[in-house]
Amino acid sequence: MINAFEQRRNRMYDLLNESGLNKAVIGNPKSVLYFTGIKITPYERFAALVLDAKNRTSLMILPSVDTNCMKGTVPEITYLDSEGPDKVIADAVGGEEAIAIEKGYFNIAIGEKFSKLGCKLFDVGENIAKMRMCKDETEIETIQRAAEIVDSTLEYVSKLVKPGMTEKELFMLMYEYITKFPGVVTDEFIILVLGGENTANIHAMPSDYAFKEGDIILLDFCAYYKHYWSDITRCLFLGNVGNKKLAEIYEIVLGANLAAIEKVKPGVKASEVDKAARDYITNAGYGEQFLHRTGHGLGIDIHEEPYISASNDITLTEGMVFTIEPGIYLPGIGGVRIEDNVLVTKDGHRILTKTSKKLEDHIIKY
Amino acid sequence: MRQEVYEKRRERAYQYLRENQIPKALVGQSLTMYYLTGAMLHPYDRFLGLVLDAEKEECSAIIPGVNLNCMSGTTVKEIVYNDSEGPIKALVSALEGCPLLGVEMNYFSMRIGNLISKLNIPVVDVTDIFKKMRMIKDEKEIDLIIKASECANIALAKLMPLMKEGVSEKELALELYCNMAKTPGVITETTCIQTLAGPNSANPHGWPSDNLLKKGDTVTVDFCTCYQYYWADLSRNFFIGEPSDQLKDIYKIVLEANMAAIDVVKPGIPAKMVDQAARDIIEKHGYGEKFLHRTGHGVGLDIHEDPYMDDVNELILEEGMVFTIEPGIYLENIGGIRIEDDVVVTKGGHKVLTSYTKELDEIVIR
Repeated sequence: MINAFEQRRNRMYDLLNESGLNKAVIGNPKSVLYFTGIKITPYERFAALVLDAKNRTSLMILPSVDTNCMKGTVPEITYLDSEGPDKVIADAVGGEEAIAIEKGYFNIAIGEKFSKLGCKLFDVGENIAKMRMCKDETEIETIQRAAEIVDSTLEYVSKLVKPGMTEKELFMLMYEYITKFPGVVTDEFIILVLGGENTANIHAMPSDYAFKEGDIILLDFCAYYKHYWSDITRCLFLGNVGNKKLAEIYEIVLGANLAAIEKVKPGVKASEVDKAARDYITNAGYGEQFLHRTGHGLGIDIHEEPYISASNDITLTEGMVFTIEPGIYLPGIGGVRIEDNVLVTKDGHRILTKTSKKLEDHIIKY
Repeated sequence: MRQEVYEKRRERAYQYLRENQIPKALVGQSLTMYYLTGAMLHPYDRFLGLVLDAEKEECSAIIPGVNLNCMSGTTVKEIVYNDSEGPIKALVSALEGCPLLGVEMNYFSMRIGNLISKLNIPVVDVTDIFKKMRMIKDEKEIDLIIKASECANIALAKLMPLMKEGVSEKELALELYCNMAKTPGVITETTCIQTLAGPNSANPHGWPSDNLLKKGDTVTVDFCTCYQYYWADLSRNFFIGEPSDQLKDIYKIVLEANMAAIDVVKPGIPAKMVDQAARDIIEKHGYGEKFLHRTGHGVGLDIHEDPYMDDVNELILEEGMVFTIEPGIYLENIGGIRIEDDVVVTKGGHKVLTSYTKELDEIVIR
């Protein structure tokens, strides 16, 4: 029986054959994982999976330091730091008139190495993104489990957060809690813990700010479980809602979150989901304060297709998993974002994150 | 660091660009952008770029809406695009009419390259200009790397008592992370920690797993500490109980190689001489084939950056360069030994920034 990774490589051979290309060069470690089950960490060194559609075989180009890291899944050819990858690249794809390559991953300088071999280069990135976008059952189960871990983390946090604790301290407790789940991978993590006015800054990082009574605390964090991500955002209030404005925008953001989720089913466009959230917030008068798209796909990558944005007309299909995370940010006051992970099912959708979204459930008694 | 530091760096960048007849340049690597502005941005999947106008001596940042105001406090102008329109209009407005554009080709993806080519401006690679600037550290930068290495020493000393039979690699990594993260000034958003025990340590790029430490194991602890965005990188091996003669033997060889390479570091010699010094020792003892990688890499804002200590790099060492010296020997199914220090090139020779003990007796846990 062939495994899921071989099946995926087979599908890629078919796609390449259909487009008349013999070879594809894939380097994004996330894509390599998707096609082989092996997570490579090449750092700045060149590494690539070369799919040969004509012979239906694959091989991995690796720096010598990563010898044997493919664990027998695909054959390896390695190069020494001192010689560089040019020769093995030429051996692997030389003589091809055109190849498919991950243009969103490889940099322009690498691209020139291939162009110099006389290869015309086509982007294989979109095909890979399309394949990765629709998850199989095992992938969905893995993301579901990752979602259970973030749900459990929120329950844990609600029991221990109190005034005087700093953003960084809470972040550390969450990191430790998440890491201890067997299967959680520790080479990447995203845990955003923000308190008070800091919550108005979308891309702020945990600081030494100490929480105060009445503060809003925004927790946007992920669990990276068996190389699949979940991603959740909830807002807590310490003791009470210190600022009435925050209660007002909380209800609006919640309405937008629900309206967008309600839209999700096969056949609907991603932009329509974004519009549902955006219209809701715009009608409430805060359109200008909703600074980002409504969501992003979730899987091996924390941000991947399908992006739920106003300009993405991709049609939703069964097996897609993405976030719904509208938000309103008021400088000097604070920000609210409510994020869930949603799976497109045959008849509609299933929400993978289960933590309550009711404001009253997030007023922390301590 | 104060804004003037970044302004001075931009002035130098303008000057280098003018010397190369490049009127404008587009850079995007987060660390280069930080080096030039003091603003640390995380692009995730979105486009971020800095346009340096060498003639007008002006700098603008092309940023998505979510990063609005990220340049406040600097003289850098923000050109904001929203998620649905993408960055192309902003690029056109910043670059229209430019006769030649310098591009960080080792950073921007081929896909962004295609976007840039739509502007119909001839392009030239400017990666090296910024690599070279970042390669020579000023006193403040060296101080930060020293601070980072002090944090690393402390964290490792705290970890040592926990290294015993039955503890998992992941537990060690978590403890090390928490020890570092608690130090004010330590940046917690990225981490690079290897704690590999027994045969796992034979993989130079392995990742901490649920594997438990056993008697007779060697444990490689290779980890990086990021202090105010500057990295120190330190590796030591420990032994759980008395090591076998074979492990003792290769430990002594690697240590000899580490010290021989450090010894040759001074201004005026090519990087490859440093690599050769370590490689000669290991080859002399018959383990040349098991030294799978170069001897070291630069450290600074990036964990791996120029200068690289490999056996072909002719780059001449200069005062202010900081890099690792980390020879290793890896024996499949047995284990690996790597001893890594960070070294700065000084006027009269070098200074070792990492001070953790390398005495075999002091790293055997009995």
